[in-house]
Amino acid sequence: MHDERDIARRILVVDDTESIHNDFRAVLMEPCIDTTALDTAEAAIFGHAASPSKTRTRNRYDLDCVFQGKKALKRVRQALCEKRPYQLAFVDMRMPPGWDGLKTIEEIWRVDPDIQVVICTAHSDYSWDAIVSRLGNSDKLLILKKPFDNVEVEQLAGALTKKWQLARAVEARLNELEQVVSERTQELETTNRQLTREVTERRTAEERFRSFVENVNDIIFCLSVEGGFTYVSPKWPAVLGHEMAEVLGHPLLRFVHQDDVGPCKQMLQAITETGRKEEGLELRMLHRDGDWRWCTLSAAPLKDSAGEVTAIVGIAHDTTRRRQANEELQRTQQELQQILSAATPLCVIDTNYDIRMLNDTFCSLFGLSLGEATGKKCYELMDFSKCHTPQCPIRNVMEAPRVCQYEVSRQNENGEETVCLATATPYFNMDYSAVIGVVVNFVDITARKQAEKEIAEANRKLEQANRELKEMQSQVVQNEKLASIGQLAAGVAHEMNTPVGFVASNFQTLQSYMSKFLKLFELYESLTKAVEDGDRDSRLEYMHEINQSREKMKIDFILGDLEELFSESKEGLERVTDIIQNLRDFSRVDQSEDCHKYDLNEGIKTTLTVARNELKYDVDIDLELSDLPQIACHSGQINQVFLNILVNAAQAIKSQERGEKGHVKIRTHATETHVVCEITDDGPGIPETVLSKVFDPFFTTKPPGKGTGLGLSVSYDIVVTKHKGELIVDSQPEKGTTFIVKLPIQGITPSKGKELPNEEENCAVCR
Amino acid sequence: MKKRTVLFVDDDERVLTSLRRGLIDEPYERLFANSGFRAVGLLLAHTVHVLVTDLRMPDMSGLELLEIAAADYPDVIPLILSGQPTLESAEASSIVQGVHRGAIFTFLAKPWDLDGQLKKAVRQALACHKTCIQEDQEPSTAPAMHT
Repeated sequence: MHDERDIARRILVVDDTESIHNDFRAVLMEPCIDTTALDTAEAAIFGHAASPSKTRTRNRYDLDCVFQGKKALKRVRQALCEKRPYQLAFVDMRMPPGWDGLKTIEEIWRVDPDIQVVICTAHSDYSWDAIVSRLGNSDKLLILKKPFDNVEVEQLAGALTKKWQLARAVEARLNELEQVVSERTQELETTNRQLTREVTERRTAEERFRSFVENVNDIIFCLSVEGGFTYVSPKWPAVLGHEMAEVLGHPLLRFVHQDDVGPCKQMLQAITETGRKEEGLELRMLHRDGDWRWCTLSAAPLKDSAGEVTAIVGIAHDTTRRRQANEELQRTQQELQQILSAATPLCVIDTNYDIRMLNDTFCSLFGLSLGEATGKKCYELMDFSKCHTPQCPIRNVMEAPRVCQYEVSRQNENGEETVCLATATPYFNMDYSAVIGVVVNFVDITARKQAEKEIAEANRKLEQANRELKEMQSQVVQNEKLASIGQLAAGVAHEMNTPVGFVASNFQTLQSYMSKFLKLFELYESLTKAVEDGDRDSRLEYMHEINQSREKMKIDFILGDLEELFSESKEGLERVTDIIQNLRDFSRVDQSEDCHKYDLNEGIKTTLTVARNELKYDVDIDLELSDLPQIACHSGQINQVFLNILVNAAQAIKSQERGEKGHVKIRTHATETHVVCEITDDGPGIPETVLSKVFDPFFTTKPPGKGTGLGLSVSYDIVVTKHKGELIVDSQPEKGTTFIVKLPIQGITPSKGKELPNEEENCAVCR
Repeated sequence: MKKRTVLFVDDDERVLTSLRRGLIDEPYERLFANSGFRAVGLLLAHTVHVLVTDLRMPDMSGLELLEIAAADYPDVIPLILSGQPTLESAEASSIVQGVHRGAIFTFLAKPWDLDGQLKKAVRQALACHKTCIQEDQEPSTAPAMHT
């Protein structure tokens, strides 16, 4: 207000009369007059204590005068532009030739509606009503009747400019207020929008939380400070089975297992007292069906603005299944541990060669403690020769997932070696797409190895012994062969020595005969000469000498003996030839390894010839030979069988010392399939206890040096094994023994030649 | 003068005939027997100084004969003429012992060397006979034939 008091009060005078202009100037631009009355009035009007000032001057006005309406409009516009608007205009009604007063006012208000206007008129050109209808009922319009009083003008000017200023001040204040209101409104709107957004967000959040709270699988609840449920989430029935009504309003502790009530109480108390949340209490809660469910309880306080705990919110998580699963897992692990402990030594190796699992037996096998073994690489633990080589079985099993078995050995500090059979089995991930490790199973085979070694050693020794035995046996067989050959040779030699003896003797005798003949021949020569000479005396002398010599030299005996000498010598030679021929027939020395046609009867005869010397002093042989088909066989071997049987018979009879010859009967006959030879003696027979052993190798009843015990065993081999025949013995003690040799007529397949002798030996031994 | 007599025993007649003819010029009586049994008879009937016998013979073997001779005619000097190249142990040991004891004068093997061995051996045996040593007589020229 005080500031505006200093603003110049601009007044525009519009009048076509110059004098009027001067009048206004005179009135409004006169020096100051006492304005006490005005000040008082002002104080009364504006309500504040008047501050009377004796020095106060009259209002000074900035007065402009124009003659025409248009000019006035121009001035108003200009003033507005200069921000020095006119506050009051005095407008003459009539201003020929230009606009009249009304028109001018209309135009001015159009530009500056705030301007206060006083119409100056000498006569009433327009009625008030007409003016009002033209200009509206405005409080800014006053009418001044001409001729006007100076004071009136001055007061008008003062009042109206004051009014303008006040109006202006009011307007400014209004604008200011409006501004404030507008700003405030804007602020409110912003806040409002924010609130709306927040509300929306909260609503969304709330929705979300509600959904969360209602849909989470855990029970979310709210407790009063007294511990009763004020809210439970709808999962309660699903988890614990109760209806909501059975829960709400009831205390939490009512649903808690007796043993867990204490901790639960403590928890709630702690929350209330400390105002902090508590977490993870494991307790059992009652299910409606009477079971107890394990839950994990967490709870937090709700506080009012004063920080007082007003409620408790909590969440209960059903851990029964987890607990069961956990228990199951523990049980499984415990089982696994037990199984592992009981199992053979094993370890589990992963793809990094780390030992992931091992059992007690593994540790004791390798002399390790569990601590030493865990967390090691397999090759640190089992430093086997194959480690770090392409032969590493673990690596191989992982690369080609197959079960692999190998032997490993390890020495302890005492140098004792442990040998194990390791079985490496790959194990896979869940879908069997990759090998994630190897289970290696060990079996201690040290003892077995040792046993194997011992067995091998024993075996080697046995084989050695066997070889030696075989050698010995073959030697014995060879000896037997040699013995029988020797025996045979002895017999044969005796048979031959005798004829050779007397033939040789005869030959020597023949020589002496010849010398005697030569002597006699000389005498006859001399006699012939004497006859030719006609010397009678000497003729008679020679005759006498011849006769004497003839008698002395037993010439007559010789002449008579010569024929006998030759025939006997010839017989001796024939006997030797015969023996040699028979010997060849018997042994078939020339082709003994081959199979050929054989007449059993002839074989028997040959054998008898050869054995004659062995037999003839002890037994008489009766032959009862039937016609037989020829068979294919090894004749030498078969003859040996007969020889063995016959010689045995002769020896048995001889052993009886009965003082007379025994009898051996040889019968042959043929069946459809076999040729059969029965050799029966009337010897001592074979005791029943011995009968079963007669074919055993080295079995003999003869005194030492008399037999090898192989004869019948070799015979059995020849007949049964080599010729697929039968050799049967039948004996009655004190009555005699019968051997029956049956040979298949079909014979045997041609021999394999050179291998036979060896085979013969082996078979003879092995029987 | 006492005749000196040698008895030859062999179961093979051919041996005996060959000896008979081979020894026709020998200065002693020769007796021949084709079995032990006959030999025992001849020993009984004749004074025999030397006995030459085979070993393997039926009924009575050479050893049996030698035992009888040794028992009943201890003065008879025994010789063996055998074709057996090997002797069974029992026989062998008794023969070898006999030879060593002097109970058997010598062992002649068949085939024999008539002139080189047999004749000499028989003559040596006869020379060893105590009666022959005592009565140093001429050999008889007439052979005695016994069969």
